Amino acid sequence: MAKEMTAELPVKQKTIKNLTGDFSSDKLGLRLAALINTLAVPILLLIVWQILSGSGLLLEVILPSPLKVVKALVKIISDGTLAKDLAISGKRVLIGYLWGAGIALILGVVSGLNKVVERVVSPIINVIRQIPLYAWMPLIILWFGIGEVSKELIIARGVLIPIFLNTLQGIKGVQVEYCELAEVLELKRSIFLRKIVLPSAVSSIFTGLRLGAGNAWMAVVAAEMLGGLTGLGYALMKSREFLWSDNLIALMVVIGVIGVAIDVILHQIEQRSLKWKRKTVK
Amino acid sequence: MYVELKNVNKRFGDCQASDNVSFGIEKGKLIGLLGPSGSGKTTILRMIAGLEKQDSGDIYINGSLVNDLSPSQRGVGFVFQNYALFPYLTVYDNIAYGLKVQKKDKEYINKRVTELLELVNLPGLEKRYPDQLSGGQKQRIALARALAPEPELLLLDEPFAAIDAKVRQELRTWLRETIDKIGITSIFVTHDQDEAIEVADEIVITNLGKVEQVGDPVNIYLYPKTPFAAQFIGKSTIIDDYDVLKGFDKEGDDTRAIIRPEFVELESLNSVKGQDPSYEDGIVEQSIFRGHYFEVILDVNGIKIKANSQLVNGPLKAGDKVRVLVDQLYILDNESTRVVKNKSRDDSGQYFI
Amino acid sequence: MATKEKTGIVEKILRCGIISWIIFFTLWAFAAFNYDEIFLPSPIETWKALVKVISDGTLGADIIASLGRIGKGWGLAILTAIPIGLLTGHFKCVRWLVEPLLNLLRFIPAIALTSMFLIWFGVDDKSKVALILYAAFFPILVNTIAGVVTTDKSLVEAASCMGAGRIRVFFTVIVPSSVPNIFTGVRLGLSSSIICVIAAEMLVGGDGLGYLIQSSRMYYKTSWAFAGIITLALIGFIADRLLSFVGKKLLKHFGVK
Repeated sequence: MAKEMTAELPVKQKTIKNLTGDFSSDKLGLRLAALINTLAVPILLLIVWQILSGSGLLLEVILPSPLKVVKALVKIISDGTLAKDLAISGKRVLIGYLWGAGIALILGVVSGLNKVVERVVSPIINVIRQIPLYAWMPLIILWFGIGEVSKELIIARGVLIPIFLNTLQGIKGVQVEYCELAEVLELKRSIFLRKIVLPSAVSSIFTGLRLGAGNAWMAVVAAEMLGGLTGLGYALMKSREFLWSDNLIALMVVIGVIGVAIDVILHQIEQRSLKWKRKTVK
Repeated sequence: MYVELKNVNKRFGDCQASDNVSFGIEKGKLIGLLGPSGSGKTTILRMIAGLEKQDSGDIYINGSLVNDLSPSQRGVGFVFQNYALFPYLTVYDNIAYGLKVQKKDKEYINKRVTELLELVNLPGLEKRYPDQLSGGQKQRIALARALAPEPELLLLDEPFAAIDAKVRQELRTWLRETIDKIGITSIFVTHDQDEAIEVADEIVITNLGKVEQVGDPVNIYLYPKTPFAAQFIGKSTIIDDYDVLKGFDKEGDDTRAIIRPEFVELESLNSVKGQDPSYEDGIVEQSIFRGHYFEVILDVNGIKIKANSQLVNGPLKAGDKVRVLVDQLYILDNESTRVVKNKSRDDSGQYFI
Repeated sequence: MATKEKTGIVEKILRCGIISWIIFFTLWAFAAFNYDEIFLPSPIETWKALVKVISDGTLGADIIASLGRIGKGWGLAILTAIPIGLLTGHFKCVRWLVEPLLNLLRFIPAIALTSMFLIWFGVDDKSKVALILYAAFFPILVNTIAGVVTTDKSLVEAASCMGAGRIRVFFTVIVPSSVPNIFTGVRLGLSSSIICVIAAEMLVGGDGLGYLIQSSRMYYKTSWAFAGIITLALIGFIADRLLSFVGKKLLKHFGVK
């Protein structure tokens, strides 16, 4: 499935899943064992961390103790700042994602089906891709100011590339295999698209959507760090300025956890909705 | 016995890959492990090499018990179905691998590699890489590589399965000659009857993890010990009531038997030989031309039998009437077979005056 | 017949992408015409800026600065991630230690760590290099592990039968077999490094292409920012192609395509 173009992100994601095992197929006992295994080492590290902090070997500022981090976390949850920041960042992610995904899906599908369109669109997308996400930020900020729109646009840019590439790949991948069959059977174009192309391409598209979501989350944090006065990214910057290390780490943990959660949830949705595919196709 | 397996058992999850396997192999012989897919033959080979560990039972190589030895300690050469050549090493380095492990000096390695390339008929390919070789060449290099460290035993796992049919034929004969030249004890695994019969000194037939029969090919063909062996080697038909046929009386409780087409004599209705009373009538149901003979399905007294008809007898087609004599058959009881000859053959062998 | 020939030529033109570039430049020039230079410099203005920045040496200095950081960060990532990856893939106990950390850290993007690194290393080159190291580390590690784990078992078995012990098998079979995967990881690491160096330079400042782009914007020298972005894109493109080429030449027989 992953050819040159998309070899980048999909390979990275796929191999991690292989390493830790696909939980959906394991028996309960093995699942539990795997869960314990995943948590054991971090918990051990946390304990070591706490001990080191307690012994005074670590500078408060550099690495506050886990307890302090937890206290900071509790504070931002209870006084509502976390919720507020989350809501703001979340809203941006959602809007940016929807725009980016929408455009990427349309472009991807049309390019996949029509060679002429592909020839025109692909080079443009490639150029956009060559310019790293972060390099786009100053431009977007320049043109659209330090407001909501520019952040959403940055997210859209981050989301556009993986979704477009994976969608294109998915549609093109189908064509080679089933196109001839459809020609022989003289299927109507609409039926061909609906019953053959779409179901086959769906798994690639889902992968793209999931990767895009990961990118979106990353992009919103970055965008908020580079400009603006609200959101989780800004909160990170502020914590650094005031040297609130415990707050900083707490925020980082939240960002990481939400990133994991997004990926896991999307992966589950992907697995469930494609269950029919794994049973029937192939 | 040079290689011996005693009561070896191996289970993979629900599947009993080896079920109380015991047999021995003499030094210098080329043995074929023959059986259908999943019969356990590759498992046996891998256990001998040490690549799998048996659940119970003992394996001896050259008199020593090797149960606890790792593959690197057993001195066994192994040739894989997919060649397993190191793609990042040249042919020279591939063959030299085992010699480097043995810490042989450069001169010796040079000599040995050249020698082996000569043996496998591929001189001059030292600097090539595996991806520049054909399937047949790769397998020969794999053989050279396995032989380089002078192992005591050579094991081959379906060595020709991945090779084109035509090349396979040539390689089979070539393998037999080469192994004869070196004189090394060898065991190879195959699911191809013809290959086993042609190449091996002796055959071990496996089925569902059990050893069905051990012996040389001709022996197994003429005297199959189990129904499976009888059906696996050579073509045959199973019939339900053999006493319906002329010349056979019911013996004991068993009614089923196996008939080999080679032991069915066919004569045309009008021939002199066909008039002999020991022959009976039969009708041709189906006739398939096989290039140098006709494979026919006969209806004899309601029983269907496969037989071969030589071209000399002229072409046969469905509906033709013929005279049939079954020379011998194998009566099946559950676990074994026994050969029974046609009663009318009990006399001196002359049928007509 | 005539139509077929016509499509032939049209196909060829489309194939080399010229049409897209022509459309692109035309649109750009047209749009720039309607807008202020500060907002959207025209292709010509960008070109002029590029020339200026090259000739007075700032671009050169910034490129060197950025490349230097990429080199250090990416280089360090290669030196640390490959050995750790090899060990993790091969030894179950190492994997038990590393995998959980890997799965948790994977989701904290380098950019989020910037603040943390700034506290730890100060507003210094070190923090930027550390960020690049972090960003490049994971792709290299993950792909190295994948390389080890997907080694063809029959190669390992063949080596064993020829007398090779575990350690020899590791160095003569597993490591060479993993090379194509390691190389993929290294390539991904390079692209991550380039992405990250920009972010790091933008956030931390000092010098480098990221800083050039960011500060140009802030001082409203948009044509300079454009020039910087174009340079950046070119560098990324060339670097990747170069690496790919070198890899194919040197590592052909290891399976690198």
